[in-house]
Amino acid sequence: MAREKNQYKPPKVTWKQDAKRNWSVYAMYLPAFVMTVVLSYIPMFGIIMAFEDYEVRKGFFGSRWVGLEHFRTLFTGPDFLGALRNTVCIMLIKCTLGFVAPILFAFFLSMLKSRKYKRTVQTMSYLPNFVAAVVVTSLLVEFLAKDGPLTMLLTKLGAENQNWLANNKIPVFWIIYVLMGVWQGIGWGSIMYVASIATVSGDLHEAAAIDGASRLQRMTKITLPCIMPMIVMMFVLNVGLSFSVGYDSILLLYMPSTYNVADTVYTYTYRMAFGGGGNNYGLSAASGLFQSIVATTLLIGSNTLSKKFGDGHSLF
Amino acid sequence: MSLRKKKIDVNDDKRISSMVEHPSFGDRVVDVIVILVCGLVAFCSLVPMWHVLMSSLSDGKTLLTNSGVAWLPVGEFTLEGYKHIFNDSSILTGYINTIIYTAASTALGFFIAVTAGYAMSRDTKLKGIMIMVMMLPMLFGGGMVPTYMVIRKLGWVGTRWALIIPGCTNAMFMVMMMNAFNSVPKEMYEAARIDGAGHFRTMSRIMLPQAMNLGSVIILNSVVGQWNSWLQASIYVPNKRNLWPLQLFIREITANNENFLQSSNPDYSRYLIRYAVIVAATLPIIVLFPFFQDKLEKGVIAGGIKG
Amino acid sequence: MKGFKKWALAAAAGLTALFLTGCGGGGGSASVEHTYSIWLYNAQDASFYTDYAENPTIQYLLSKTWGENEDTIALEFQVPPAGSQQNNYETMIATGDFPTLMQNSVADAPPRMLESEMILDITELVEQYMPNYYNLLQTNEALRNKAVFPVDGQDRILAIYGANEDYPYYFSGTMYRRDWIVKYGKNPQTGASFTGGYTDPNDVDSWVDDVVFPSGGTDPVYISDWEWMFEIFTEAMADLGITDSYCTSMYYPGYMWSGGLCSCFGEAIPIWYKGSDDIVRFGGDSESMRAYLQCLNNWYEKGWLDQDFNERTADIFYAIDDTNKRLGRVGLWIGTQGELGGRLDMHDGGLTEGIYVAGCAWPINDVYGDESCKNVEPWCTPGGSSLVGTGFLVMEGADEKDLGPLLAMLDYLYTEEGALLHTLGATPAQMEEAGLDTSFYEKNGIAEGTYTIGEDGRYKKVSAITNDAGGLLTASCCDKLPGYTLVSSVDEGYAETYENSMKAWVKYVNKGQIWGSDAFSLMSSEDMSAVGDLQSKVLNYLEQHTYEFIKGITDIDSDEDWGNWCTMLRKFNYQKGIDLLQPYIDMNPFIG
Repeated sequence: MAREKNQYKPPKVTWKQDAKRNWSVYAMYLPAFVMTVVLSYIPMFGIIMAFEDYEVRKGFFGSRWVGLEHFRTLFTGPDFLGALRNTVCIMLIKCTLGFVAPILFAFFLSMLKSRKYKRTVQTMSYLPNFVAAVVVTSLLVEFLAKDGPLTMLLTKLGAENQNWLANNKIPVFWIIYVLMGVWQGIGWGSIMYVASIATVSGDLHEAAAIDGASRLQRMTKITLPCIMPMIVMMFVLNVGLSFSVGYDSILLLYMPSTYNVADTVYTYTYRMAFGGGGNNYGLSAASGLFQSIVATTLLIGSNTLSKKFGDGHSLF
Repeated sequence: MSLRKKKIDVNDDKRISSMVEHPSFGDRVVDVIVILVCGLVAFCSLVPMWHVLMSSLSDGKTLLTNSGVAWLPVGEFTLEGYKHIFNDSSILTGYINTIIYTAASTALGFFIAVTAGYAMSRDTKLKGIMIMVMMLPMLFGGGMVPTYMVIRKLGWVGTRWALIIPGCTNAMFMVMMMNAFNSVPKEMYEAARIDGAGHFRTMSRIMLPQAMNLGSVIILNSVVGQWNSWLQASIYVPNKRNLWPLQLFIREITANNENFLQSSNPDYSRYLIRYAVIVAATLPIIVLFPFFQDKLEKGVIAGGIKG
Repeated sequence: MKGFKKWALAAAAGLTALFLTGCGGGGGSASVEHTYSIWLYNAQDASFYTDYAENPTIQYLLSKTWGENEDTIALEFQVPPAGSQQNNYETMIATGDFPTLMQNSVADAPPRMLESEMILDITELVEQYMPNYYNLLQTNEALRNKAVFPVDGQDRILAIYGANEDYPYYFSGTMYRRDWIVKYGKNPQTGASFTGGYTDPNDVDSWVDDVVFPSGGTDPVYISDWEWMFEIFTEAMADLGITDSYCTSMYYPGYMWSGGLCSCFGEAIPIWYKGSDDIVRFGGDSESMRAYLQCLNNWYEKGWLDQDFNERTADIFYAIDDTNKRLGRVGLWIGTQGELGGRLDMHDGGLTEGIYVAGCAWPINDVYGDESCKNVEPWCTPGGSSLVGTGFLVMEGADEKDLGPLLAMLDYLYTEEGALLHTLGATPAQMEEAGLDTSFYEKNGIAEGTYTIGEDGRYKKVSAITNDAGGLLTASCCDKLPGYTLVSSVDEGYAETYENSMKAWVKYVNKGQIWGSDAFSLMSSEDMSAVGDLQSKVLNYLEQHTYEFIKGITDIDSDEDWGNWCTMLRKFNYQKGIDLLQPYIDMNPFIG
């Protein structure tokens, strides 16, 4: 069904025709547009902070202009390259392992036969989403300590007894960090996939079942293609966001001896901008801008790729 | 017609498996694996919340020295943590405010997500630009101070508007809604248009009921997001306690207790507060959750029949 | 469709409710002639009351008239939610919506604020309306250094700071298990066993013993005393079967940049500091730092130091490995008041049974490094105690009002009577006299007030205040405002052993840590951000490599490894920091 839509090519229309035909569509877009411009675009003047020696009391238009100085400081910093590498690697794991987990879980949920059991599992899996990040990290620190319950379990399974968060070998920290995100978001993240799967027509399943397709086959041959647009959309969004969002909890998990694997662009900037006793807002803004630009590039890139190779599915 | 069938029976698998007489051995293995994996995920998800709940019912001093998961209350069972929280009746104001903000912001935000999502899903010449315009603010932001200055110019500082309106334009929701509209069968849309229905009518009567499945996900996300928000309130209504949402009261209680150990005669039951506040803040929404989800699903089905 | 209608309905209902409740907010203030707003960093615990203006002592002050014209005044307190003070300050500064008076906890230094026209020069106002504060400024050097700054070559008063009668006690410090010393130690002179114990099993502060340290006193003074204790602790842990614990821990980077133990080996701390000769130095590559690292490396290798100290990044410096400490498995640590005496005793037959914890001062090095590192008093102490209280700034635009009555009221808090109100609050008798409600006192179990007059003429805190676990005193007195705080005139009601422990923590006060000092207030914002950036880089290097010396990953005794470390630090151009800081220290060398 979704594919049908994508194969449909609108005939060339002139602007005049478009305006005449779609004015009410544009009118529906208007409220969101006005609000976004006022509440999101106008405040974007704050970005100039990245090029200033920003001081709150002097304001955005009174602070000293330093041009690209903050970017130079950032890129030439001793640990910047390592931090960038870690960010990219964590992002890659997030976009694969972290991305697939909720989808798999959604499939598993939709394969459950008992409605009651499904509902219970679902509700329970939402719980971690409600726990604040600080609590999650403190629990993780406790569980992965030398005598923590998870460490004990891993030791029983043959791993060396250690404080896992102090392990600075690649890729231990990366995986721990992504798994923490998976644990917290698997249930909540699966909601929209469960909802999408539920809209897949029963007729198709029925026909396939009569043809003797097994449940697994039906899942991969019918359900998966049907929710593919959804998956592609989420993937493109994820690639964009996973470079720049959500690294603050690393501040609570890393230690100087694991900076080599756990330091990210966000945490590195945080130390440089706020770690010395003073607040360097300009540097922090410059790093934020850099991350946004990379994220946007990634978003557009992944969208283009998915358009090209992903059956024509794309976000925009 | 086929639509009605599809929407009425939410649980297709049940119907199908009852139809197929003898599930194969492979199918059975798959079933068992699925049940086990789901059970494992549920268990892993439950553990920390259980830990928090049991800790909140423990004895403060014993809990301080306890490590590992609290499967049962550590030390004596107490309710001291909750006494500290509800000692101050202003937290009830917090519950009421949070409900107001959540309801208003979700309703308005849903309306905006639906209209904008619909607009972005149509084949218009500006489609790509419209999507980009909404997506960019997800990645670029001017920061707290410029936003504050805009809100101040609008005259919303110190009012409830500052907590309701800014949360309403969520690009993620709009994009999701756009996707939901995209996946509505083309024929339905065209049939409605040929019947002479305008865009708004087509959207609300024909398309939205079909897209309500993802719509309900948006509502859920919005409710939870609003329920947990406090940052906006701390910036825009810092001195108006009568406008504070629950989470801001909770943060204040937590902060007041952060240093209780520094006192010369610490009241160890204060250690429980950090756990009790989590329960107090999340229990209402967790309890309401299945009920809420049920209502939504029924709403979806009803919408499907009518549409 | 039904679904959508339902939601539309809910939306409408929600919005209506919103309008209705929205109109309910606000409310006009009483028609008082003079209303002032005061921004506070934090106020009292909200469980007592939610608005600081409800504070009984504030109400008592407001019931009086102030200034030449005997005006009544009203105060509006602006207190941002805990944790969002910085945000609140920034939005306030960006918009220029200033209160009359602002506590300067997150604000910039007064001279820089004056330069950007955010605060008022209050010299004339103070001379006119605040005679007591003015006089105090003339006699109290510490206070003057905080509040008076050169502006165009003239000394001008820019801030109203609180002043303390004496160094007040600090909430945290080093402490050790003295009961283990009694049980396992031997008198270093006679070799006899120590005796000691609680005279009253129900009093956690009734400990008496005959412990003598190698340096001859009853309290540890030197590093050698500490190491003598560590040997005893090691023996104790072996006897008690504690295998995976340690004698002492260290904050995770391996040092505290604001001082502490690392400033006990000569004056140095690992970053910039002011020496006793008023010269700014960088301590990261100093002999003192090397001696410090040799000491910690030795402790680490002997097993005295927590082997996993660098992994405890989640802990605050005064709560390192809290669980282990509370289980009675650690010998010496940095802790808080609430851990002194027998307060950690769990009464469960475990390792805390019969515990007695005593506070001690930072040690003086007599073991490690060359002579320049030895026998120097600890020079930089973190946090710690000061003679000056919190400061307040009169904000730009405040002079549109008549500030006389407000300043007259604040000045009253620097008089003897006012200082008592400031420190201990109004008594119920005073409240009644002023015709005010005294239910606050009855409700909180201090019907007689917060203090009585003791036999020695000092103000003695009542036991309800001494034993209070929350912020009852803060809720009763008005010490959130500027004023004079009584310290030595107040008998805290503490037991002698407890008070001795707290005294040990203020034995050495900070004399060299520059960040946040008075000289720092004088810096231009450009110089300050330059130093800040340098410090970020240096600390980033230090925290990644200090633990390597301590854990023996690199060898502190090897001149090559130490040479590499010094070379790396020099690469950060720390000399630039010295050059930037020295002129300001020359302008105002006072720290304390």
